[in-house]
Amino acid sequence: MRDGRLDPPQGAGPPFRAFAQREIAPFAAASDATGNLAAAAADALRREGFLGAPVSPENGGLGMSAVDYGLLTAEVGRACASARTLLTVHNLVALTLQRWAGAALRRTLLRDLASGRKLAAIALSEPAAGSDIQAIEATAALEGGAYRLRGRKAWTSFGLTADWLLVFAQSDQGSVALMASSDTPGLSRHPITNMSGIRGGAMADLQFDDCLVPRENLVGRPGFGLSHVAATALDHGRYSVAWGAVGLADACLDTAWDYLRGRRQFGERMADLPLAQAALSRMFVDARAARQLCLSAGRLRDERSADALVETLAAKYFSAGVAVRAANANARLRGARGLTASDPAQRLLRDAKVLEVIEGGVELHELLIARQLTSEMVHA
Amino acid sequence: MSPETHVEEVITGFLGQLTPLDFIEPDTNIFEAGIVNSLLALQLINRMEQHFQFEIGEDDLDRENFSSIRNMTQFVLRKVSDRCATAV
Repeated sequence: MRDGRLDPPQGAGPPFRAFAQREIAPFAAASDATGNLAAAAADALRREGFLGAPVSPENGGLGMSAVDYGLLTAEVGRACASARTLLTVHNLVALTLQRWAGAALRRTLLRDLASGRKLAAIALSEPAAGSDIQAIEATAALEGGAYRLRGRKAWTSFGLTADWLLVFAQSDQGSVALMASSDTPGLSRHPITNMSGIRGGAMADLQFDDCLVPRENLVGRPGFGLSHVAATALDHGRYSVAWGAVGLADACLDTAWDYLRGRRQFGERMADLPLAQAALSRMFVDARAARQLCLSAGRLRDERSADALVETLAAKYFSAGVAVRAANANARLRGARGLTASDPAQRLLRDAKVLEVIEGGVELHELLIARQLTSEMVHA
Repeated sequence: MSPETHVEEVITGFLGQLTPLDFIEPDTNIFEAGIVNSLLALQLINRMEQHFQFEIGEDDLDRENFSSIRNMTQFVLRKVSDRCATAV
């Protein structure tokens, strides 16, 4: 809670919180209302080096551990889900380049991303390919020194404003991942303005009409675009979204607590009413449990453990649900006020719903976790 | 036990943990057999990196390296040999 009385130990959390509450939170309502993340919020992330927070120093980043990057993401997510989305998509592309791009791309493009001089987004989903990423239909045909890219990408967060796009397509050598500059001739970006949540996320549909992308901008090798490059990107995205959900649940606790301690009903502070206390307790324990799962995933990532992938899936799955439950409770506790469009509880609720969909929806997570369980149980 | 047999056993063990299958022939192409999804592909790479203490990067992304237990064994032996050569 904002006054810290019930906060669990958080390592680097408090400095990140001070930053996010000072530099990001004041712009959250405006970013939601206008549909554009306030430039001041993005500038603040850039100025602090957070747009390259988890990228290694040799590639121009801060080299933050996965745990610290998670704590940062939670605090940014607590302040503004749209700013957290920028942190998520930009860093997931940077980390994917760090893992799978060749030395030349890492030396040039990755350094631009790690410094925040250039912004990146991921263009994977298509109108007919969401959870089933193997079904993408965009094509990349190698012609001399460039790939000719054709196709339509849907639901690209920050697709409207990113300088670089990590685009996935099918080629005659299998799937490929390409870094395409946003000023590539043939690329048109179409804003999606009616999103219900994370409205400052500059969501766009992207049309690639014979865009020529230099062969040097290939990330990974042909045939590995989906199985390894996209999978890596989604894993980083899930980890970040999981922490963002923890932050959003914390924001719901903050909002609920502020309201309940200031409002009197039945002759008492609402915060002293048993049913309100029960709701707060559920929110608190839920958020704390989600945080522990995220910390566990973070530690495994820092240890480069092979179990980190599944723990990350579990953390994202659980945390997104926690965020939605907390946002529902927060809105309900505020009575009719919580139903008004301008109330902070409504923004939190709309933003929380998005977390259950992005980087793989609830059901996809259940499927993937169950597959893992099945394998383990067969050999138990 | 030869290094090759040891590595093959370790990789067979990984696949055993990560798939519901009881047995996979060393020469079975795991891509063509539909055994590998993207989660499994990354899990395999992470397990190899963690167990054998090397990093797999862009240069290693050759389908052949990961297509069967036999090929993964040869890949691991090459990587370990490269690491030893670098260390010397």
